Amino acid sequence: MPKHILFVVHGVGVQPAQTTAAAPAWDADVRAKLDQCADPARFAIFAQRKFSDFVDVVPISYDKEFGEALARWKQLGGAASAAHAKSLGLPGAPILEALADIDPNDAFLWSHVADAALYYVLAVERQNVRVSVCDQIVRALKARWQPGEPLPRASIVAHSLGTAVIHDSLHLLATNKQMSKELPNQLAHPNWGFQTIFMLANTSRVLQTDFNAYESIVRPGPANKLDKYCARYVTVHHEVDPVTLVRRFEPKTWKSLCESITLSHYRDWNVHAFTHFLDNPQVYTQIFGTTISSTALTAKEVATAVDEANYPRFGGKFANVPKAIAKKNELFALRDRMPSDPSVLDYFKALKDGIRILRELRDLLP
Amino acid sequence: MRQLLHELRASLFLAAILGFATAAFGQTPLHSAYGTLDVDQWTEFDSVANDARFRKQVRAAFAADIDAARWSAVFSKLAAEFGNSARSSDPVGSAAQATFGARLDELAKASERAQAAAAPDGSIDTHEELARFFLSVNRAGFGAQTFVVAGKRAPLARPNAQPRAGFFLDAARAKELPGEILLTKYDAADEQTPNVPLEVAVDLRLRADALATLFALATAELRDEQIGMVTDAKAHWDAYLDRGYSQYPWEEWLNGFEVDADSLEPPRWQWIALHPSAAIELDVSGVDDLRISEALNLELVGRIRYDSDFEDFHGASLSLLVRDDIGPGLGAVVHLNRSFNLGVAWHDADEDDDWFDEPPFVFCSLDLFRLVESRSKNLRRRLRDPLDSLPSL
Repeated sequence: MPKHILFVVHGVGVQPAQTTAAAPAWDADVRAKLDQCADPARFAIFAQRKFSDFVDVVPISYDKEFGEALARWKQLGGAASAAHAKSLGLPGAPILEALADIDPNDAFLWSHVADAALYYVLAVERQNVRVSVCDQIVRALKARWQPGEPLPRASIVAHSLGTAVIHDSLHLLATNKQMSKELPNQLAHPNWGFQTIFMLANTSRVLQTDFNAYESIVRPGPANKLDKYCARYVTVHHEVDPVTLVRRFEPKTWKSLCESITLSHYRDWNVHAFTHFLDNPQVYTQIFGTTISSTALTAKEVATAVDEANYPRFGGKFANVPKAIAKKNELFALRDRMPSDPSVLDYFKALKDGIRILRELRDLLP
Repeated sequence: MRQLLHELRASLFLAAILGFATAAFGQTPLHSAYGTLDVDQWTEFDSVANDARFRKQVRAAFAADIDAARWSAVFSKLAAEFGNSARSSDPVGSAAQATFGARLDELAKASERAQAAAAPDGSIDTHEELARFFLSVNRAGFGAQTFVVAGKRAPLARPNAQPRAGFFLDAARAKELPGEILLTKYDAADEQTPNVPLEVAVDLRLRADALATLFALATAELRDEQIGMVTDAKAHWDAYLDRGYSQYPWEEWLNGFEVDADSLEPPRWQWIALHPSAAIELDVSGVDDLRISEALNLELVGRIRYDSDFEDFHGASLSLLVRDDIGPGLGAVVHLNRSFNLGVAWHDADEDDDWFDEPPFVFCSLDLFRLVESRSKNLRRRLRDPLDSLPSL
């Protein structure tokens, strides 16, 4: 029987689909993080096997489509056209020159902003990406099924722009007019669906275009409900992630069916990063429980993992924050202890202590 | 005696599973038997592989019906077989079996209705009849996903508890609902304990696994067809964008209105708007003086249509030809196919404000110049030399 498939879907940025000498494939970090979190010291299930031994992690990549669009326009506006237009004094020549200057790997504008802008603004690119994602999903399913076995179970972990992309792609896969022409859709309920869809930094409302994120088929429900597509839907956001501060995904009509997790941990400045979300035990224990089995982890193991004593709010680059806060409190306590009319001796003693605390605070900060 | 031997054999089988689970996973047997262990891992034991409820045995037992696509008969017989099987003495186990049995009976009835509607002659012989049969069965709520064991979310009051496994779950809701079969329940420490006797859990899991397998097998042809629709559509999108008529960003924006968001396929029609391309223009005004000149062809507005596989297209557009030696020309270009286009344009060469008092120029656009940026300069250089070397005729 095939392993549970976990489709992982990236967000904005340069996301190479294949490992090259220049950079690893984008999913390498995600796999490494999941394997890292699958700590045999904390979870007995991993005593003899890694997470990737239980689950088939399948990356879904769509960055190539955006890269190809930019490359096409760069070629179109290429030196031949731009120079020719300029020599003839055509007013549109600067536009062609701008196209010729596109460099997808150069600036944040082209590597990050352009992805979301292309998806949101251009329906041609948007639909191309969706069909590409559908194609990757069905190829993975076809490759992993053998006659004589049940269909593989599948779940999804998507991040940032990937949440909007996967939401739209799944809706298209399940409801497209080609498969709805008096045919049973074999790729939707009750024939196939997803166990759990995890949306990390959910932008399906921020980048909502053709399909309403609250009314699409991408909603949790039993397998016999043809207008649902997954058993569980988990949306995760970080309390200070700027990407989801506006138009946050918070369905009103099916709020009780949507499991919402708010993270407040700090390990890196980029709180929006895919691996920053995965680092939190509130996220990865859910992923383990849904993809391995519902008894893969015990409640005690999960409670221990999420306990603040074992996973403090501040860590990594922010490990010293609690100490800095303690120093601040020490300083304020020093201030509060000062009498209203201190003697010279009291004053100099307080000054000495205050300078010591400030130096200790300075040493804590990067 | 026979019943006693059967029970002894079942007990040894269960004991073997629990022992294997403990050894393999280091977990308490309880958790292993209910969740971690997949049916396939049970095949370590010959008793599973030979168990009449295991998917391979079920497929073998119903081979004749399966090969003849008598799916209604298969589901009806499976329902009857379960109905005749022994019931648990445990009330919760018995209730779970009753729920499972009721679902099988519903499936049997739904498939009988589907059979009557799709193939009144009693035999599903064609692809269309198979599709109609399963469309009806699906609309009754039955498919491969129906019999997959799923995890039911834990209640908010148990934040660290893990999902409970079961069948026919509304997994999005924490509350237990009628019609669900929950294989586990929570103890005081939020850990999972059996909700039904182990032999009932094993029985239901084996039977559900077999049903899920049969559904997957029965619909393989339909599924392959639909997977083919998706892969074909992807190929069409690749052809449309990579080998179709090139689109500048503003043209892609405009053609976005042609995109059907509910369709897998790219738009069949494409607008051309303010599309510059290099062109070669031929002055045919005098037979003895044919001149070939470079020009920039600005297609002002046009439309093309793709063929069925998006590998070729044809269309036309209004064009403005701009050259550095004479005034602009107005005309039209016809895209005969993706490799060849031909246009005519009238220039006001004598600047008498009469554009059509002279013979038109013939031109063709060279979209190829933009497809390979690095080659374009070389190609132009290579073309310029022979063009320049052509004698005046």
